Amino acid sequence: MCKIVNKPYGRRMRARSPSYPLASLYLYLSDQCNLFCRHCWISPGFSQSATNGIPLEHLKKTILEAKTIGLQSVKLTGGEPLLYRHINALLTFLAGEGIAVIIETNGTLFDRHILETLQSCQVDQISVSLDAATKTIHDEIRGVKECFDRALDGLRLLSEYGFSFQIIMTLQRKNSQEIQALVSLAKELGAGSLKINHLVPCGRGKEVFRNRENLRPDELILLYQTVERERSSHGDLDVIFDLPVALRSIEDIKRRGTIECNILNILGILASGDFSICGIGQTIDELRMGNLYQNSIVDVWENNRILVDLRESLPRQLKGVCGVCLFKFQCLGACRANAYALNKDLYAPYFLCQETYDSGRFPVSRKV
Amino acid sequence: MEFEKRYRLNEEIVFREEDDGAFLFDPDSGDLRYLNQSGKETFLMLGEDQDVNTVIHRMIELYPDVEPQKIEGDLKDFVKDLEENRFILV
Repeated sequence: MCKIVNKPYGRRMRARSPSYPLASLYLYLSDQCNLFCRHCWISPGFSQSATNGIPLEHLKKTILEAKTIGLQSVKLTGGEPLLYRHINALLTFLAGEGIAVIIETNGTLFDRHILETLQSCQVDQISVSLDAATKTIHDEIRGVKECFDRALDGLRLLSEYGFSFQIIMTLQRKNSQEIQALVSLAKELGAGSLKINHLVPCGRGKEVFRNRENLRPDELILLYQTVERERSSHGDLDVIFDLPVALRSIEDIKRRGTIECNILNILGILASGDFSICGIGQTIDELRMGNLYQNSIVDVWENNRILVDLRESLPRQLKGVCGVCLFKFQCLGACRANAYALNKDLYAPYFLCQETYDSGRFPVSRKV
Repeated sequence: MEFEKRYRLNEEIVFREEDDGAFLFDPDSGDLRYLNQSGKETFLMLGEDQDVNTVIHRMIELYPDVEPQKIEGDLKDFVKDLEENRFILV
């Protein structure tokens, strides 16, 4: 999160630290998912059964090694992370090591055993995907009947166990009328926040864009402005509309800061054991950078040419509108994985900002 | 701080106005500041070749509800910070 220094005359928005501890590991524990979301940027295989993934002993060894270079938290994601056969044992290990846990899940597989194990962990965040407050819309987007009811069961269980949780929706034409209803449902379920993500043309999301079922940048910005205007009616629920910082209102920036992805301080581990900058290695082979069965994570982190190049080149080598954006030192071009997926170039502009700029809607005051 | 000190704006700094404030951006260091309305007014006055004392008095006139000592103290800190980070030059 961006550190903002309050002063009577304004705020300082600090650029990223020039040091590069490996602060967080994103563990793509399973390359399978029990849902089949039309927009998923990872495109995992479909499976209802538990998956083996990385043997726990290998994962533990790598996590312990990562602690020596700064590891403080892990994000458990996938595919569906709760399909990972050793999820309980992994959580117990993380609790013992004092490593904070973030979970991104579809919420359909929570059970009391997992939640009891989670209670022993330092949980930074539990994010559960819910794309609509209307069952038929959610089920259609997520590709499996009755998954809405199962996600709701999971969310109620989280609430019963006293966890604070976030609901995440991925915005597309099909659910663009659902925001208000989802705000109400999130409040009713006791969520701490509702995060509204914009869709990215990656993985299965490409097909949604091809069918023009995504929202155009102008439509996204209009919805964002509506959500911002209605902020006071959301009560204690923090509604986070995820847009690149240059497209957000100044009030929103003051409230939430400026940092987007922590690309210079994270590393992904795929279910295959391959390292990547995040989950993008799942679909783009050239962004894989060694494998935990053969390579030391310390060696990869310190010497891999992609990571070294990113440290040396971000943000100064950013192209297009990202290269002339006032926030480039904070934002680092939003999502570099997406930029690469679309352009085969880690320094290409972020598609949403560039499209906004090309259509003449990029805020003049946010450009150098 | 010398109250008679006069400053000029660093021409290498990017100044961009927003509805209720402004951004200052140093393209070299990446340092980015958001100035609120009073910060923006102060910054612009400093660029008009006015000494710090004059700027303080003008701000006291502009904000009669705020204690003059508070304005003076805050403004001195603000100007010092701008100078230290080369947003303004002597």
